[in-house]
Amino acid sequence: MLRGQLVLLRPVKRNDSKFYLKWCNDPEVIQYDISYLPLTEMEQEKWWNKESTPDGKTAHFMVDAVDSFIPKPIGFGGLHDINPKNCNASIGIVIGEIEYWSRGYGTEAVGLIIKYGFEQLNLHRIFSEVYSFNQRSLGLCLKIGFREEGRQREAVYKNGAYHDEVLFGLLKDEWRKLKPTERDSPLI
Amino acid sequence: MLRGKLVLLRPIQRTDINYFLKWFNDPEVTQYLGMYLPMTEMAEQKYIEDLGSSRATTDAPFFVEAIEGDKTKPIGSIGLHRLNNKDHNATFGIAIGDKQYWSKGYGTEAARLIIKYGFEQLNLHRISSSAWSFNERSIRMHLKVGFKEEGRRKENIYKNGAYHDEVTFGLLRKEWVKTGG
Repeated sequence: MLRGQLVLLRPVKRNDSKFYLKWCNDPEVIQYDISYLPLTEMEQEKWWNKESTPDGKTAHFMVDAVDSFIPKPIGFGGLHDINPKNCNASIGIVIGEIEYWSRGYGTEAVGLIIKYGFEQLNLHRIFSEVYSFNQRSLGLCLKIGFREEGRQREAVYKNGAYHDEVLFGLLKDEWRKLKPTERDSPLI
Repeated sequence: MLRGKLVLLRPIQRTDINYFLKWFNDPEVTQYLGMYLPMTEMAEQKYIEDLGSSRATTDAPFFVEAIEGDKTKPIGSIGLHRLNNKDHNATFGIAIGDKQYWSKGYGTEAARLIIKYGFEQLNLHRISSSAWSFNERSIRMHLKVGFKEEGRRKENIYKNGAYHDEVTFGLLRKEWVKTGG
């Protein structure tokens, strides 16, 4: 569990499945993600069952909004492809409840995941890949301190056109130099 | 989920089986489809489970619901099948199983939604389809949404006591873009 002011990051549960089905079948949400086919409950269940044998390469969390009386699942995110030799991992987040976009929930969640990655998993580097039309996510990466490291030109086809995939990286040393407010506050 | 004015296309779920069993055992519906044997619950269950495994990357199936105010009503299924990531083509299929919704624009809108999805999200170059020659409703719908008749497999289908042609259709992205869908 990783707790902030706006969000709580917790392990997934079986009955979170319905949220995944909702979010991963919402075109507005999924346009920013790699997936593109309808997600059926049958396929989702298979994916869930894999969670019963952890591969050690994934630290996946459910994101609950906790600023109101009852915690409300709003998305998921975590570190993937954790490479223990090179000490790096890829970070990803999906805020599936659209009314929680642009209000600091994703920013805080990403901040918590990064802190966890550097301070608990002993990562040296965290990287991220963002589609070039995802302005919100580009802004988030820069705000958090990621540096743009490159672009795979026209690497992804979405919404009727090819788009660049922007690569971001953040090193532990760079992250440590950020002021605590920049690292931890959801309100920056 | 693909939302239009008349219909909502959503992923298929296990509880949809009762509708499939009803529709795909209705001779008025199946005369227009490839199937002709009684559809058992067991076979349909297997089909639905396969959608989550062996067919998870080769098919984009959706359940079609009619939008009625705040509610929706199951009326059929639609899909892009045999997705081919090298040649960028797929095969279109549709069945409006609830006959009350025939000839009222529901199937046409569902087809338009999935074609747009195929070209704009799946990056398809071509969508193929076919209909039996006595299925005039389906032929009209194909032409209306932009398919072009490409050929006829003469007397390829035996239905209702006679042989019928299979009319084959194709729709290329460049043609679709030009007509605006």
